[in-house]
Amino acid sequence: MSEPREVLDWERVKALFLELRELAPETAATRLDELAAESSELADEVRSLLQADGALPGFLHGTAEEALGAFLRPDPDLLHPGQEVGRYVLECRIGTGGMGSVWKAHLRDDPERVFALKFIRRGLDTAIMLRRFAQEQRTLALLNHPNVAALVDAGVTADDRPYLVMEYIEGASLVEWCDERRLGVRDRLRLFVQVCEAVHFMHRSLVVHRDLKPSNVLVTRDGVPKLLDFGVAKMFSAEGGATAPTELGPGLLTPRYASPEQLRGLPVSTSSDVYSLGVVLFELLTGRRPFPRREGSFEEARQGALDPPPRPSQVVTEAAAELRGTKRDLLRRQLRGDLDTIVQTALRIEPERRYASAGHFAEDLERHLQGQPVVARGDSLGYLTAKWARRNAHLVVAALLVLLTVAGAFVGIARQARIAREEADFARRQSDSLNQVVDLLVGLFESSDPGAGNPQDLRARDLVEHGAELLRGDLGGNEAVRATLLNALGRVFLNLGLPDRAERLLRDSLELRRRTYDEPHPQIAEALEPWGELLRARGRLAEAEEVLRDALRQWEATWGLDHLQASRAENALGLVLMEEGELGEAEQWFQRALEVRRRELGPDHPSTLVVQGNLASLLYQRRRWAEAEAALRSVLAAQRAVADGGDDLHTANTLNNLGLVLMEQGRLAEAEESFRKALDVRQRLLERGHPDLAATRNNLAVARYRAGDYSGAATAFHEAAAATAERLGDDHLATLLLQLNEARSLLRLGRTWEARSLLAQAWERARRSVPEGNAVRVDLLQALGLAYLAEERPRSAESVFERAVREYEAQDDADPVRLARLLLDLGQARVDLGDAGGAETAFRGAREQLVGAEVEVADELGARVADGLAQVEQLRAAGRSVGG
Amino acid sequence: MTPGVEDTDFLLLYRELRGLAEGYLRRERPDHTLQATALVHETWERLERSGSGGFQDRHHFLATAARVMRRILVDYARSRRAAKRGGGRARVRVDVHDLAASQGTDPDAYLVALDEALVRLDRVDHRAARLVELRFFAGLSMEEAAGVLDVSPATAHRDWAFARTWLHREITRHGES
Repeated sequence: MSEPREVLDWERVKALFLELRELAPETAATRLDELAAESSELADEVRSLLQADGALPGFLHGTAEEALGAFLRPDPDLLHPGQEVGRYVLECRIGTGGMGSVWKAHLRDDPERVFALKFIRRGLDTAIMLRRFAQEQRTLALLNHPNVAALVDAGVTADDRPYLVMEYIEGASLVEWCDERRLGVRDRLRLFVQVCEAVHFMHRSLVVHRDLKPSNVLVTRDGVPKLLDFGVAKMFSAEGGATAPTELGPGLLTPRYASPEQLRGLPVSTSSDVYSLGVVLFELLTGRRPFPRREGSFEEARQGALDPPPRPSQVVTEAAAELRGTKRDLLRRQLRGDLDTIVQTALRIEPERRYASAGHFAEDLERHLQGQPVVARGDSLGYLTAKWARRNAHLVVAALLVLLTVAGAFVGIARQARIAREEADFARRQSDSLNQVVDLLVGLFESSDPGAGNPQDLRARDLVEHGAELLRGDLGGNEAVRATLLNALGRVFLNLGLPDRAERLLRDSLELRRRTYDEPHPQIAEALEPWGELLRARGRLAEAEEVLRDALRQWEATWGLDHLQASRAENALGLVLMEEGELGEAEQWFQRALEVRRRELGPDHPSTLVVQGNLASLLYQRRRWAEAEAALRSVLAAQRAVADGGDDLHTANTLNNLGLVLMEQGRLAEAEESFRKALDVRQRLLERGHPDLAATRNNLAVARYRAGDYSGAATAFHEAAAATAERLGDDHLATLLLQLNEARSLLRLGRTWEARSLLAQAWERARRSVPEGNAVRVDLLQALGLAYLAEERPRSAESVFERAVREYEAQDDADPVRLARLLLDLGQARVDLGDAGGAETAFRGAREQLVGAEVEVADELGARVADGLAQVEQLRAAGRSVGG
Repeated sequence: MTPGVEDTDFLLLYRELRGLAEGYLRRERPDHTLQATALVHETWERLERSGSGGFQDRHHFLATAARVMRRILVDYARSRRAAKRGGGRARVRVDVHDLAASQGTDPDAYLVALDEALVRLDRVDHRAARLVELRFFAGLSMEEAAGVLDVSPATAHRDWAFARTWLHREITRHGES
C-alpha cells in the first residue's frame, strides 16, 4: 500500500467525517473502532480529519483579498511572533483592524494560558488617549459577565504603545455558528437573547460597545455566546465622550451594523448598540442585512443612513429557510407579526423610539418566545385577542363557544317570554350567572394586556385553573352560578384536550344542577351535553349516545330543539351516531343543527361551517355525492372569504375532500384540479412526509389512475410512498398502501416485473408488521396474485389468492362482493393451471357471494362468473378431446 | 483551475478584473470594506451595461469571476514571493501557527500553499474546491455560492466544513514536510 490515499473512497470519507463530527467524542471513537475493523486506512483518514477539524478557528474565514489586504500595508505594529510583550509571548497575529492588530499570546511563565492581545495602531496614541485608556481599562476590568470576553490585563509596550489583554475565545461568529447547525428561529432567538442581556449588563455600567456585529459575537463550541471588544472602541477613540468624530471615519466602524447617528456623526449612546443588535438580529433571522446601501463604501452608507428597514419576513428566501430548518413560507409566517415588529422597533431611526434598553429588547423577545404579547406591538384589543387565540387555539374555540352559549341563552330566554314563574326566576338568575361567566372570560383577555399586570404570569390555562379554584371558594351561596362556572370551565378543559381535568368539573356541574332543578330542565340539558362529548372523547359511544339523547329530550320538553344551545347537543349526537355507523339518523341531527346555526349565526359563521363540514363527510360516507359537493363548496367559499380569497390549510382540507367527492362522481379532471390545489398549499405549508400531504398526493394519483393516466399515477404514488416511508418507516400501513397503489399502476402499464417485486417486498413487510385481518394484507395479496398471473406464474398466483381468500373469509365483517372478486381471481389462476374442478369451485363460490349485491355490481361480476365457468367448460372439453 | 483550459469568458474577465484588482492592490486603502465581492459585482454591472458580456447567466459569471480572482491573487502572491527570494519558486513552507490563525505573517505563502492544496482538493471533491474558490476568492456568501453551484445551502455548509478541514490538514502536512 504505497499510495493508500489514492484508493480511498473519498465520498465515503467525506460522509463519515461529516457524520462523526456531529457525534459525541466517545460515540465517534466507537464508530472509528468499528470502521477500523473494516478498513484501517479509511478509519485513519477519517480520524485524521476529525483531529484537524478541531484545530482551525478562523481558517479560511474572510476572503483572500482581506487576507492579502491586511498585509499589503507595512506592518503598523512592528511586532513579530515570539516577541515578548510584558508578561506575554506573542504567538501569531489573529486579526488586523482599523484600530490595530490582535495577537494570540501566552503567558511567558505558563504557555498553556492563552490570551488575546490587542494593540493600538501607531499614530493614535496621544497622551489624552493614553489617559482615557487607563480610565476605561479600570472600569472594564471590574465588569465580569459570562457572555462578555473578559478584559484581564492591560499594559504599555517598551515603546509606549498601550495594549489590552483579553480572554482568548475560540469560536465561530454568531451567524455562522447558527447556520452551520441549521438552527431554527427559536434557537437563534434564545442565543440572541443572551447576547442582549450581556449588552444590557454592560450598558448598566454605562459601557457602550459601538461596534456590535456578528464577528464580535463568537459562540464557543459549548454554545456559549461571548461578546468581544466591549468598550474597546471608546478607549481607542482619541477624545472619548458621547461624540467621538474620529470613530466615524472609515476603518473604525463597520457601516453595515452602525446606527444612523453613528453614520451621521451624531452623539452615540447605548441606543446605538440597540440598533446594531437589531441589524444583527435581522441577519440572524433572514440571512441578509437590511440595508443594501451600507454594504459598500462609507460614503454611500452615510447617504443611506436614513433608509427605512424592510420587514424581515419580506426578504426571506428558500435558501435562508433551509438554513433555519424550515420552508420559506413557514419562516415567513414565523417572522411576520411579532418578529417583524420587534426588529423594526430596534431599527427605528430616532434613538428615542427604539427599545429603551437592550434589556427591554431581550424581554420582548422572551415574551415572543413564550407566546406572550410583545410590547413592541402596542396594545390594540384585536392584537391581544389574536395573540391569545394563537397561543390557546383550542381554548379560544371553547371561549367562543361559551360566549355563543351566552348569546344563545339570551335568545332562548327572549323566546320563552311567557314561561312559568319558576322559569322566569331561573332566567333572571341564569343571566346573572352568565354575566359572571362573561366577566370571567373578559377578565382573561384583560389580564393579557401587558399594561394591566405582569405578563409573565399570563398562562391562559393557569387562569382557567384559577377560575376553577375560585369555584371552591364562596360565591355568595349561589349554587346556580357555581354550576354554570363549573360547566363553562369543564368545557374549556374538554376543548383543550384535557378530558381528565374536565371530568370532575362537568360531573360536579351536572350533579349540582340535578340537585337544584327538576328534570326536564334546560340547565340539566346544558350540563348533559358536554358530559356526552366527554364520553365520546373517551370512546364510550353507547353511553355518550344515551346522555346526549337525554339532553335533547330535556331540551325538547323545555325550550324546544330549535335554538343554539340545543344545536350543540344535536351536532354532538350526530358525531356519535356517525361513529357508530348510524348514518341516516346522524344526518337528521346534523341537518337540524345546521338549520339552527344558519338562522341564528348566518351561513358563513365558523360554528355553522363546522356542522356543515360534518354533514359533508357524512354525505360522502352515504355516497350522496352531489349534496356532499354542494356542502363542501359552500364551506370552501366561506373559508376563502375568511382567508382573503386565498388558500390556506383549512381550504386545502376542504379542497381535498371536494376532490374526493368529484372523483366519486367520475369528474376526474375537476378532481385532479382540486387535489392539485390542495397539494400546492400543503406542499407549501407542511413538511415533507406529513400524513396530510401524502394523503392528497395519494388522492391525486388515484384521480390520475381512474382517468387512465397510469404513468402519472405511478409517479405520484411513488413520491408519496417514498416520503411516507421516510417519515413513518417502510413497514407502516400508509407506506404499504401507497406502494400497493404504485404497483397497481405499474401493472396497468404492463411493467409487471417492477410491480411484482415491489409487491413481494411490501407483502414480506406486511406479513410481519400488519396484523391478520387487516384489509391491506388482503389487498396486497390480491395485487401480488394478479402480478403473478401477468407473469404467467399461475401456481404462485393460486397460492397467494388462496391465502387472501382464507384471511378475508375469517373476518367478521367480510364484504361478500369483495370476497367474490377474490374468488374470481382464484378461479382464473386455477383455469391457467388447467385445474377445471378447482376453478369451478371458486367461480361457483363467487356466484354465491353475489346474492343480494347491488344490481350493477352483481351484473358485472356475474358476467365474469359466467365467463369463468365457460372457460372451465372449455378446459374440460379440451381435456376430453386430449383424453379421447 | 487547470492552466490551459481557459475559455474566452475567463480571458475576458481576467482582463477586466485584473485592471481593477491591481489598482486596488497597489493602493493602500485604509478601509477594507471594498472586497472582492464588490469588485466582482461592479464588474458584472459594467458588463451588463456595456453589453459586452458573453455570459449565459450570473451564476456562470460568478463561477468564472471566482476562478479569475483566484488566478489574479495567487499570481500576485507568487510574484511577491519570487521578488522577496530573488526569483525562482521555492517549495512553499508555511508555519502551522500562521495557518491556524487564518492569516499568518506571510500571507503570500499562505495563498500559494492554499492554491496548491486546492488543486489537490479538486481531485478529491471538485464541488468543495469550487465552493472555496467562490467564497474565499470571490467573497460570495454561503447562500450565493450555493446558488452558483446549484446545491442547497445545507449541502454547501457540509462541503465547506469538509473543505476547510481537508485543506487545513493538507497545507499543514505539506508545510511541515
